[in-house]
Amino acid sequence: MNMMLKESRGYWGFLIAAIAILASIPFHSPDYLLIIVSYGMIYSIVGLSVNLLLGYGGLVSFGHAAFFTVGAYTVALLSLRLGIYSIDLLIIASMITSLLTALAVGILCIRHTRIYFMILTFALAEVIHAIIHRIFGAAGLAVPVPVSRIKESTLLWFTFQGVNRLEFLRSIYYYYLLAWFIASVVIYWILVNSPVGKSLQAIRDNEERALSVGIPVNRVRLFAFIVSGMFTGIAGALWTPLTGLVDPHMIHWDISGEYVFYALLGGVNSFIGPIVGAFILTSLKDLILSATTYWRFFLGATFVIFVLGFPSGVVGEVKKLLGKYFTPTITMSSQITTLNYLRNILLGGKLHE
Amino acid sequence: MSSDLIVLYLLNMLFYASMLFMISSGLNLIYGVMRILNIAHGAFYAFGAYAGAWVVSFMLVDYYPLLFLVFPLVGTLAAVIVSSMLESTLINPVYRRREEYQLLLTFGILLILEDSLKAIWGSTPLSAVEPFRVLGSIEITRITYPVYNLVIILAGFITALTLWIYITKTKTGVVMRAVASDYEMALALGVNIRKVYMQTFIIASAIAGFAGAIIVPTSAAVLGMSIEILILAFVVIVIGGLGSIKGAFLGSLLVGLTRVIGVTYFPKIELVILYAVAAIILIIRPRGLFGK
Repeated sequence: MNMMLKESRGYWGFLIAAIAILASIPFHSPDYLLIIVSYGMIYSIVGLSVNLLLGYGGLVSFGHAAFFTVGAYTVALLSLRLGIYSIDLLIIASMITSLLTALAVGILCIRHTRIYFMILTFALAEVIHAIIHRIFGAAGLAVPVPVSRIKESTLLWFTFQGVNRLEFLRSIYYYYLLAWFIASVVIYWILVNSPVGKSLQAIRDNEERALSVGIPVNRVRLFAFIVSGMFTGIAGALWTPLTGLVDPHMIHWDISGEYVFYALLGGVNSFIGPIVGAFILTSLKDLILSATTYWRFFLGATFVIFVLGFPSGVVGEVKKLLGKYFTPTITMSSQITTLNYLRNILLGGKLHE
Repeated sequence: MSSDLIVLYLLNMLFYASMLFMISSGLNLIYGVMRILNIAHGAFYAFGAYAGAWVVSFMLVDYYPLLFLVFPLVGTLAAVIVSSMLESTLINPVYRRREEYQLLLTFGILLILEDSLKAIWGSTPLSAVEPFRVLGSIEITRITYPVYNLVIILAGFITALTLWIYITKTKTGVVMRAVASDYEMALALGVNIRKVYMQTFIIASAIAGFAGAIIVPTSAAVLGMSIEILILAFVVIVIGGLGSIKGAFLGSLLVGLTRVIGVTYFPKIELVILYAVAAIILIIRPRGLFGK
């Protein structure tokens, strides 16, 4: 807990600087940077969602691309088939569909842990993949918002008709993304420091002990899974007006693997790790794809180098490096701190449930 | 349904099953001994397939039938060389790490190997129909069936038998099982763990390479084949149970059966059925049918 507070104090300056930099991007940056940063923010939401399960819950989900795709397909289908052109409404609808999907998948998965949880999420994502592939075809769907010339698309109080996607991004959508990004970060920060978040960490550290202090293990896990799936779905919905095309390959398992990699690359033991990981991987992928057709080779080599060379993630390694030069850190096993904290709040009567 | 059709379905089921067994038994062997789910395993299959097809392309089987033995051997050898290089350098350091890191590393290796295949043999499919054509087909109760498919069925069963004899009857096999069931005790008894791990990995990869080479005449070596077969093998080991050879055997038969039924009666949702069966079995028996 102590370390957590200290960490949060250190964040403030960094946070304000980061938001200022992000907010200023459309004024001075070329198109490609704008696009990379936009994707970086969207994938950061995914990374944070994956890490809620991985870093805080100790569960490796290999099926998060399913929720992303469900969110994206909701946007595409509602606008194509039902003619809903309000982006806000579309995103709220995606929130609901991905929440329901996460609920259905979660009920089946949460009782399992470790490799079995991983395989089950993987298998169920493949089921969703096959269903989407079968119903809506392999070619995918083109999304009419906001480029349609026939009908007006609305976003908050702005309207768009026949606008180019890049103009749309530069004019207002970027700030819309930024707002969602900040909101997600804040919500996750509150969540992981709330009693529910602490319970999740306690379950990760020792399931039996958590059970014996009275934590409803499966309910907490299911809650985390649903929140994680829902935010991934929102990210998918935010992504769709930007690319304009959804296809079944989005749900492929190597995409889910990439989502896990955001968290691992940045560092699972740090809150901002997945954000750093998502930004690094998004820009790295863009760089590799533009330089060579052998992008798989370089991506694979990145994975290998990272796993063997940076075992605690980029943020973890930087922290270690800083710790070595600035402050002598007293390390305490997180299991003890989390459980002590939890016992204090349970016995101190601060938990209202 | 006539009895001829039943025979045909049965043969097709055995064909799928022996193909799947040769991949999934290796995956399970590695998981059973090293506790690592080796995603790169599919790439060894692809390496065997490419090497085999490459040899077949300049082989004169019409004149020298003995050359039939060459291309499976070359496939096996290719997989052995690649796997022994990778095991000692990249995979060895992660045996004691958490699963997500092991998965990521082997996934990275899979990506690297896929692109290496593309760099070596190009992106056009490599076909090797010669052995398939030479053997022709025979009549089994009024249906004609390719002889080569029977060869694959036989190869699958011989692999299963050899593997079973190896791990139950030979000394190295017994040591391997000892390491699988109690790593620390085996270490305390002076077993050279490093050697056992290397052995297991190479044997598993050799089976995969052999399978790739022997199966390639029925289809063709294409990019992406490693991931395709890997996903099917995952379903097999999920159904059969991680780390169990018996599970891989029965899982292969079950998946083979499901596939035949799926392809015949519900061709549009064949894969959905397969995954749904896997998901249902996992929900009822989370450790698979034979998992420990």
